[in-house]
Amino acid sequence: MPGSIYELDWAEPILPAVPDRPWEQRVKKQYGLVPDVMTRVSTCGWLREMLLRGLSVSATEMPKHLADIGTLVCSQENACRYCYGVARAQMKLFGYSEKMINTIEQDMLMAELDQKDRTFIRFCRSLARSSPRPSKKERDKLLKLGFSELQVTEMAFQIARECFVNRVVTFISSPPMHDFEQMSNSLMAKLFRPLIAYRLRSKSYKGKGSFQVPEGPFAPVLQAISGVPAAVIFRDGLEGVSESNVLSPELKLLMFAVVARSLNCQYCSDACYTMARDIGFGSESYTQALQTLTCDKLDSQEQRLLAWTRETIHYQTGPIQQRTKELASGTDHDALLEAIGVASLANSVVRLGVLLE
Amino acid sequence: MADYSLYFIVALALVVVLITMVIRQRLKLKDLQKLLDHNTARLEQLQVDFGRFAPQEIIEHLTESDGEYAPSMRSVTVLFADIKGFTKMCDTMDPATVVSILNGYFQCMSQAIAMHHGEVTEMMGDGFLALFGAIKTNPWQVQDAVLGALSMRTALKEYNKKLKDRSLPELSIGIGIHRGDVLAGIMGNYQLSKFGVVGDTINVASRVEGLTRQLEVDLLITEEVKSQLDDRFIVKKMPAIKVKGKEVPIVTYTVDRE
Repeated sequence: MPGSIYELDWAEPILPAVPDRPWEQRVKKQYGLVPDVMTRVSTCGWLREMLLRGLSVSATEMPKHLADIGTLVCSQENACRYCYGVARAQMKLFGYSEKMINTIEQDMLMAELDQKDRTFIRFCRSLARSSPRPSKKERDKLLKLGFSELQVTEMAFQIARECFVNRVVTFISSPPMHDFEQMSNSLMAKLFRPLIAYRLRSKSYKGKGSFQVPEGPFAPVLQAISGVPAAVIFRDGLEGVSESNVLSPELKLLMFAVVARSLNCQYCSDACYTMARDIGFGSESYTQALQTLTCDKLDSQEQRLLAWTRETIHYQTGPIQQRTKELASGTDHDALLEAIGVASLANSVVRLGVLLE
Repeated sequence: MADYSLYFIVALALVVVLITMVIRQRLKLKDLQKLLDHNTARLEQLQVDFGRFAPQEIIEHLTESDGEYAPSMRSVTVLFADIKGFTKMCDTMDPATVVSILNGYFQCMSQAIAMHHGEVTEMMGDGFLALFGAIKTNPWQVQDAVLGALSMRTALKEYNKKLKDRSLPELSIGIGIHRGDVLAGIMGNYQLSKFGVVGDTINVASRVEGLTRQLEVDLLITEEVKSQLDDRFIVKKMPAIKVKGKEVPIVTYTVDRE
């Protein structure tokens, strides 16, 4: 499996890097380097802020090793070459052996892990894949094995966060960070591993206590994760999406609704319907828009973005990058970047809807 | 002094034995690791190869859930396609050429189906069965199936140009689409089984495909499919025809796109 992701076809970048010195300085201050994807999202305020905190989030409730495993498993499940390379390199810097990493990746060797770890990995895969989304039974199984409610919530949050990052990076086709990957194998990195690991962990985002949830249709989803401080990034992301005027409110709403419908999330579908009525959709036109993926309230560019949204739920890397590239040729840069962010956020928020069942 | 030498020799011998044992164990472990890596690579290759015989999702499900796949009733859209006059072609052409034509045809058609979220689950001679919404939930399965069929039409035109360039006969196909409930699961016995679907929906799709010859069209859909299409699709009603196994004549429609 490790070989197969490294050999994965990975397209040329779909969106260009847009230089922004102050932004890059902020990123460098946070991570010590400027990940490529950060230069390609620099023109979308809410998206870049979400990524700045969301690229690396420290687990506060669940064991750190499980959070590391979750990140790797999720990027493997989403076949994100960029994130997979980073996750592997980071794990090596955290002190995991190559053998251990391979063990996690190869299901057939999972006998070496204990029952708790195995069930956790299954949950990660199941939520990342969401085909179908994990049932309440799967969550209960984790609770029975001794994980607390808050730990399970944090697991779901970490997977949803990683799904968000994986999607943004994959749809943009950000080039893999070869330098960082090679650095993890270097002699210097091996010598200073504890120091680097300490710095990486200390720079990861942790959030500051539980956060306030504003009123709104997605409030219950946010409420469900509000005990995890870092999950505030989803609240801020949703607020950013609603305040931005790059895409029309109708398109943003329909993008969420398409994901909710496809992942069969009744709660999120109902929330979208409530929002649709608030912004003036009639019941018939809303239903028709969802059935046909076309809507006369959208211009031709937005129609194409809506049709593309359904491809972002379950995808294969090569075809989705090809499809996004085709879309890019006739779409305004800012609109496509924001659509990539909205689709990625919708996929994560709807996956979190599993906590409400 | 002599006693100490003896102790020293015994201790040295023990250390040597211990080191030898450790080295042997490590070599053995290395060999086992190699064997494991080799078998892992073989298993992965087997999984890839197996993907040619069954949908990837089913394989993953089977490998992850101790070989169990619970059968279930699902609402799916079924597309049946067949090459018209293929038997005659087989009788008059070199078998290798026939197989090459057929492989090229399946390749084009599978791509058209996959592009619209469908899965070719069965090939029967020159015909095949494609399902939409059988493996992954798909709320747009009807539109996908019809768009898939329209893509097949375009892909066949392209493929026929290539056949013409090679001085080979052009192909003409019939496609039937129907929507309804089917029973999906792994069927067969321990020696031979496959993922498949059964139910009247499959029979109806097959009969509808058969009607394309009688009505001299390439694509027909049923009322159940037509009722879920929007005005992007242009449908034309065809005369109702009685088919084998059905008491009431079936109403079908041809489809085009705006």
